[in-house]
Amino acid sequence: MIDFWGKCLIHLEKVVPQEQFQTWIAPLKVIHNNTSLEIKAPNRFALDLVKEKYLNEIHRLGKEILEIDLQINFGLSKQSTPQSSSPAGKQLSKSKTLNRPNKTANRINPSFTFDSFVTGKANQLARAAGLQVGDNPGGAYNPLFIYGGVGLGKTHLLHAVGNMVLKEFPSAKVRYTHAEQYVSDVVKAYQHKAFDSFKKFYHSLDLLLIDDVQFFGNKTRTQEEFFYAYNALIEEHKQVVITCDSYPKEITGIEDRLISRFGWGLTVAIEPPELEMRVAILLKKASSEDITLNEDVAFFVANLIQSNVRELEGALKRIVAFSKFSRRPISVPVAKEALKDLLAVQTRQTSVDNIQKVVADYFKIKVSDMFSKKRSRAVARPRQIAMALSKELTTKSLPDIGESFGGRDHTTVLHACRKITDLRSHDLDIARAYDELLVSLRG
Amino acid sequence: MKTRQLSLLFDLKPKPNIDNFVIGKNEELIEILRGFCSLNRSERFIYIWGCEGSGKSHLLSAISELSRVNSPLQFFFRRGGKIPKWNHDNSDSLVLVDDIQHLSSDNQYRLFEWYNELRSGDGALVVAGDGPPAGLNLRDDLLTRLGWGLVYRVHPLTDEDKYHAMARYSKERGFNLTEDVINYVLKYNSRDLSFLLSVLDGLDYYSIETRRTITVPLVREFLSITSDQHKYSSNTF
Repeated sequence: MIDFWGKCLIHLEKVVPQEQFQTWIAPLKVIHNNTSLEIKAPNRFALDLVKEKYLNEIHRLGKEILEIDLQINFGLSKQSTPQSSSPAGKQLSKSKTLNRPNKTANRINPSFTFDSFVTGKANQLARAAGLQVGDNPGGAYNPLFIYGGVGLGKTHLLHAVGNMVLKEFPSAKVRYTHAEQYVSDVVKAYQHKAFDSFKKFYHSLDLLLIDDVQFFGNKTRTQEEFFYAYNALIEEHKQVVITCDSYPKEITGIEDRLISRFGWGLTVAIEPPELEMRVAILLKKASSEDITLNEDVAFFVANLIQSNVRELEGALKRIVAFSKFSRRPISVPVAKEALKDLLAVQTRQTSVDNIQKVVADYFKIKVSDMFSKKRSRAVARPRQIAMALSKELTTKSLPDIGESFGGRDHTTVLHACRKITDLRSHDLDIARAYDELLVSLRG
Repeated sequence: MKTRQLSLLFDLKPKPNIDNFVIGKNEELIEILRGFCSLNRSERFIYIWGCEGSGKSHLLSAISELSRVNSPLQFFFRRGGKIPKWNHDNSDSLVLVDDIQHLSSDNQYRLFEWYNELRSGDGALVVAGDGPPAGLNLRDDLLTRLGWGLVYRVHPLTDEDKYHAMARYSKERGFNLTEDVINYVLKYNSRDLSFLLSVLDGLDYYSIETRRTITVPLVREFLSITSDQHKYSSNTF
């Protein structure tokens, strides 16, 4: 007879996406005692997530199946400590007397730590997963696959994991490698007939941090070598952390066997930071450099630069430099003046003309289709996206936007904007296309 | 013979340095670059952009010159050159890259690698390009890194700035130019200042050779003689 938790699992497996089910629900250890349920999660992060997302549903199932108000208690399973649960952790010594591998060998940048990583909604999942991996390498999330656009902190997280592992396990053999460096290592091994030493090195790591794996695309020999290295490491419960610019299934030119393996552990996204997070990043950066930065200035800059964290920090540097040069304290007018070239470029980039061109390029249609009367979906949808982007990115009125799209009525523009807003909430392809275009147009 | 001598003269341009850069609207940038070349370098990564002839290459050379004492290990990658594979001995070097918009994909990766290594070491990098980072057609991970440091536009000189620069330059070299001569030179030549100043050098020489005062007819005559050199020179500056 299936017990209560077994029934819960059958139900949850149907309603929760498979990947999430496997990642969060399957590893739970549950003890059911008549009126209470003890749920043990492998780590704090999983515990919080299950509590937040699935508690109500489990409670509801209790009422439905057992017809009682279940008392649900949460806790951490004893195995969650790194030494006991992580096979890699078991092998890694915490002895401080061992020589710490030097920076040249591991290529870890010591300044990229979790402390210097600003967290917000957009990256909290990735950070939490990174912390878990750093605390318990080779444990729950292997590989950890982090994906997202440029300048959002993927590399920072990789190094942060590396630094954390090195701090906990000074003798660990850690290596940060950019995918292109790995490709170049393969080429070198090929040229020097040195595949044995190449394999020996990569297969002996305790932690492999590999950045921008999309650069493996169409490089079959590299993929083959990585496949072997990957398998060897995972089988030995050594940790692999991978970053990429896209979701595994969307990487082009990579063999299916690798793509499926990328999804074996945990896949997390880093999204572009939301406004509040961008403000927090600026304030933290300013404070770490003893710069007085008011929130209104931080909001001004964060509104202006929305695409990535690096340019946000670059803008702050420019404001500080201008403030020193002009001997004026930092304020919104000073920031505006300091960033006037950037503002000018952005204004130029976000003209309706440019939006039409960029959207047409993106969907591989003609720019003239933006003004044409064609109503086929292949043309109409990009046109609606371009209209919605024009409304979001320019100060033009709806009638002006309609005029720019072949003399259309403002109600057509309004309809397009509403349609795209609606589609973005449930059509992932449209949502992604819109976000990518937004980032591209905002520079 | 005369044209050959004149063309030689075009090569006798003063070496670019920070002092002979005509500042125009670039005061802040120049102050930043002077700081960058000093011992108290506060920012190690600078990207400068501007249109052709705005003085980017001049500034890169000037930075190289001015940093010779504080940053003796330097690499200057110009258009068409190959960026070598990173070597850890270079981690505190000063790297200058001109015309980044023309970097091949291999060179882009190399620069990406150099950037990361210089950043984690004590190195410094100044890159010049023809547009702001977001407007360049290069790999995104490199572009966002360029935008991570200080980004400055090199504002082109106005005609008024160029007029004053030419007047001052001729005065410093011991000959005076009338307003109509300067305007004529400005109007009928490439508006790149370094080229305009080399025209003045040529004019000075030609007026001594011909023992005639510099007037508009003399300028016209000089330009017609050197027209071939002009084309050659304006392509090489």
